[in-house]
Amino acid sequence: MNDHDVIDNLAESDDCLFCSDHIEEAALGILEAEDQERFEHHLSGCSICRAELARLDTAVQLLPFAVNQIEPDAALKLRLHERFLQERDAEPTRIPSPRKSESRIRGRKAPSRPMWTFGSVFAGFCVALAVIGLWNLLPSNESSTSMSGRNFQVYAMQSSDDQSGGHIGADPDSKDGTMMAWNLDPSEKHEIWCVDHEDNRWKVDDLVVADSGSAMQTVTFPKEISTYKQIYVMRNDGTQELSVAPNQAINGDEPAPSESTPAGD
Amino acid sequence: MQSLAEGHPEAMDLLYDRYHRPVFSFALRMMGDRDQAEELLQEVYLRAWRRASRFTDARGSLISWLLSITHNMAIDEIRKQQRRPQKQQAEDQTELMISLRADGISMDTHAILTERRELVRKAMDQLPQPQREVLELAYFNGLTQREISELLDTPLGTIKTRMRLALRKMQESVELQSLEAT
Ligand SMILES: [Zn+2]
Repeated sequence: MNDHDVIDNLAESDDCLFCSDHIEEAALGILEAEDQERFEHHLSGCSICRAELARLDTAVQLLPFAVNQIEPDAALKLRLHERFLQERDAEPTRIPSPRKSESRIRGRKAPSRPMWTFGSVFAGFCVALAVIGLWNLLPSNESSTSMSGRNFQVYAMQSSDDQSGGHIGADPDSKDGTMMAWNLDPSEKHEIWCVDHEDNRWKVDDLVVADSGSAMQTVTFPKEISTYKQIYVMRNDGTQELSVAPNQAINGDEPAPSESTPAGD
Repeated sequence: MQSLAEGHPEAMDLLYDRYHRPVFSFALRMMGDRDQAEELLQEVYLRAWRRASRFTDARGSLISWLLSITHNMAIDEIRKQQRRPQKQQAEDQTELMISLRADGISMDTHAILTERRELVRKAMDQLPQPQREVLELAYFNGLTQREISELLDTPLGTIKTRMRLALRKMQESVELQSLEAT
């Protein structure tokens, strides 16, 4: 062993000591920023420290399971679904043309709080809002806004029997929406209907209900969603299962107003 | 996961149906706020989609992978917000908690969750309270050792020792329980 090897080994054991001193913090994901680089650099070349960290990881990875289980708002699935479609469709053109980006921004309501990056398409817009301090002026109800770049609303559908439930997620100025429903009877046939202010009725589509009683599908209405007095789901026995008055109930957390007249009668 | 990587919305819905509750519950425990937890969950699922092609079974189960993304993103957010929750917060959160129910998630997932929950709770129950407290403040609240030392007004060396002992005991308990189970 020459002098150079001795110095190398000393440096290595010094780093091993450092690693060993910080290994619990690393396993728990709370290493301080200034230690991170040295730790990772050593780890990449030291199988002993790597193995030690892996052993601790086995226990740490179980910690999230200790938490009691809580169900999120039922509309969350719909919001994620909608956002996923938006971001997926924006993905191939990561740098949108100015024209496209401008039109998206114009119709956008803005997220209720700046937390993570919402994708490159809107990053500039978010930063601009944050800089000029507009966040506080924006609506804070996430149910009625979205990160998706449109004026996205979640309409809570009122159930006729308090068993089932549903939401429509859509831009009221668009004909397209996503309907999500749960606790439906899968043995029944379900249809989506809409009524405008002149009492014209359209069957929009069949609602495909899975064996679990849940349904989620994209729905294209004949006209813009805000033009309807009522949108409802009807069973094949003629019972109205779910309904919402989109021009009144633009709030995901509030039930649709009760004065919305049941259709089909 | 291949289907998710290709951007099929059904794959995203399925991933949501299976794991939204543990991911949300963990996010809520870390962020201490329902709105922020829902926002975090969305970010986690979108990151999972973007990284789906990198996921391999060899690196652990899907749920552990999702939860580790959740933890990393929550820590980043907590640090970004410079939000340092007080000790009381973790205790207050128990008011929000409800018991684990099997509806909404498949029985397979339910069984895995229940099994892991029992494993980790047994291990945590064996820790003396001061060690458990340090472990929870670090992992669930994202506090560094220095911050825990300040919060609890306890020397840094003591915090280091408690954290080390807590993790070693957890690790031994988990290994022992796994051995007993086989
Ligand atoms: Zn080493």
